[in-house]
Amino acid sequence: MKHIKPISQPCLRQSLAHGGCGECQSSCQSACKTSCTVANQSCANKDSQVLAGRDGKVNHSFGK
Amino acid sequence: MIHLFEALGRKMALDVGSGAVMALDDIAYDALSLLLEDRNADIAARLSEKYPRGEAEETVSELHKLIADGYLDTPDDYSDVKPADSGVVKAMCLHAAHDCNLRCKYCFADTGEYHMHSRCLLSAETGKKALDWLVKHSGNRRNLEVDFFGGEPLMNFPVIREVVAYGRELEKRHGKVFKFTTTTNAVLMNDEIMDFLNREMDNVVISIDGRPEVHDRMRPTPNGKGSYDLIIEKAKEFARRRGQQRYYLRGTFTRYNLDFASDVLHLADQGFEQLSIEPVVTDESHDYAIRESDLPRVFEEYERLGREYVIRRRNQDTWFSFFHFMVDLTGGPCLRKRLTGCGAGNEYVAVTADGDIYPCHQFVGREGMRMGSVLDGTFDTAMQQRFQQNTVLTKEKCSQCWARFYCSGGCQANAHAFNGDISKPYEMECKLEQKRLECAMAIQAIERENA
Repeated sequence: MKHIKPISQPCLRQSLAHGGCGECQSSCQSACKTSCTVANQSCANKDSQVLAGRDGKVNHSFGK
Repeated sequence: MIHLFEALGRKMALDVGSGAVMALDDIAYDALSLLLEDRNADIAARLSEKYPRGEAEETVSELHKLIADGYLDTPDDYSDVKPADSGVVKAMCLHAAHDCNLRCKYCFADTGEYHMHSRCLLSAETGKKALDWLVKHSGNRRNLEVDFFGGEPLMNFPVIREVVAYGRELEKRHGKVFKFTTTTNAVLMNDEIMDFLNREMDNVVISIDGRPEVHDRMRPTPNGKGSYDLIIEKAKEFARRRGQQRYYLRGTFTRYNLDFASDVLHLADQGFEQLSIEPVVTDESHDYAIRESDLPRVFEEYERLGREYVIRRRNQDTWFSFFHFMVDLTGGPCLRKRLTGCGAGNEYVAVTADGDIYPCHQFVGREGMRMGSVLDGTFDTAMQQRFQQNTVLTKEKCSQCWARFYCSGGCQANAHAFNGDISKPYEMECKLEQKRLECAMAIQAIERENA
C-alpha cells in the first residue's frame, strides 16, 4: 500500500470468539481512578492474546 | 463509521466497526473525505481535479482493497452482542482510611471525609469481611482485585498488612488470586512499607502533580506547607526498587497549569517511567476548574506532549509511558469488555471504612447510591443490574460516537455528577478523551514509521 498504511488489523469482531471471560483488570483500578480509557487494558485470556498476536501489557509492546 | 482526523501532523483514519487504524497521505485523506461526503461519488474523477490521474486511480484501488479486506467501512452495529453476565463482582476499592495527611484543594473525597463529616480508619475486622464478601460474590472469577484507597491508606498500614495476610489465606481456601493495589500520596513511605508494597502489591499509584510549584499549590499539608519535598525522593526510591514496573505516578492538572505537558516531562526528567496526569473534574464554581473555553489550549498541550513523547521514546535513557497515550490497537480488551467499560456498580464496587458498599469510590457519600454493606450482607442487585445494562450500546450519545469502543462510555460517576444520570456522559470528559485517543493513534503511526 502506497497511500494508505494500516497501523493495526481489524480486531473487534474477531475478539468475540474468545472474549468475555471477565478475568481482566477493571480499568478504573489501573492508574486513573477518575476517567476511563478501557482500550489500553490487557487481555487476561491466553487464547485471545494468541489471536491478537501479543503477549502482555501494551506498555511492554513498545520496546522497553 | 469511519473517523478521519489529524493529530501530531499525521492524517489518520479509524474504522470504528473493525478497530483498524490507518495512516493516510494527502490524496488518501481526500479520497476518504469524498467517500464520506458522497457514497456515490466518482472519487477517482474528483481526485483527478487536484492530483495526477494515475495517483488518483491507485488510491481508489487501495481504498477498494481495504474495504474488501474488512479494514474500512465495516458494520459497527454490535447490538446483538450480550454483555458479560450480571451478578459477579470481581474488583473492590477498599477504603482503608477516611482520613488524610494532606489537604489537596481539588480532592473529590473532601480530603478523606467523603462529605460525611467524620474521619475514621478501616478496622481489620471490616476489611476481612469485605474480602469475604468479594469472594462470595465473585462466582467463577479467579482473579480478584482489591485497591487500598483513601483518604490516605498508609495512615492505616497495620490494617492493610493484616487484611492482605487474610487475603492470602482466602486464596488457598477458595482457589482465587488477589491482585492487591494501593493508591497513596507517599508521605508515609518508609523502608518497611516499600518492602511490603513491593512484595504484595500488583500495582501502586503514587499521587504527584508534577513541577514542585504546581504540586505544592494544590497539595499542601494540613499546616499549609507544600508536600513535594516530602515525597519526591521516596517516590524515586520506590520506583527504583520496583524496577520501574507496575506503578504509576498519577497527577492532576487544573486551570492553574494548562501547560501540564511540562509537568509530565518534569516527572520523566526525574527518572520516572510510568506516568499519568489527568484533568481535574469539578464544576466551574471553582477557580481551578477546566472550562470549555480552555479546551483548545488543552488540546494543543496534548499535541505538544505527544511530539515530545515520540522523541523521548526513541532513546532508552529517556523512554517513558504516558497512560492516556497507551492504546492497544493490535488486540487489547475484547469487545464485551469494551461495551461494559469500567464495571462500576456491576463487577466493581467501593467499600467504605464503615463497610458500606457504593458503585465506585467516586459515588461514596452520594445520596441514593449506597448499595449495601459488607457487615450485614445486604446488596442492591437491582442497582447492580442498572449499572450492568448501562453500556455503550444503550447510551444514546455513545451509540453515535467514534470513540465508544476505546473509552467504553466514560466515567459513570462523572455522568451522574454533571447530568444526574449514569447514561448521559459528561461532555468535557468525552472531548478530552477523543483528543487523547487521536494523539495515541498518531503516536503509534509515528512509532511504526521510526521502527
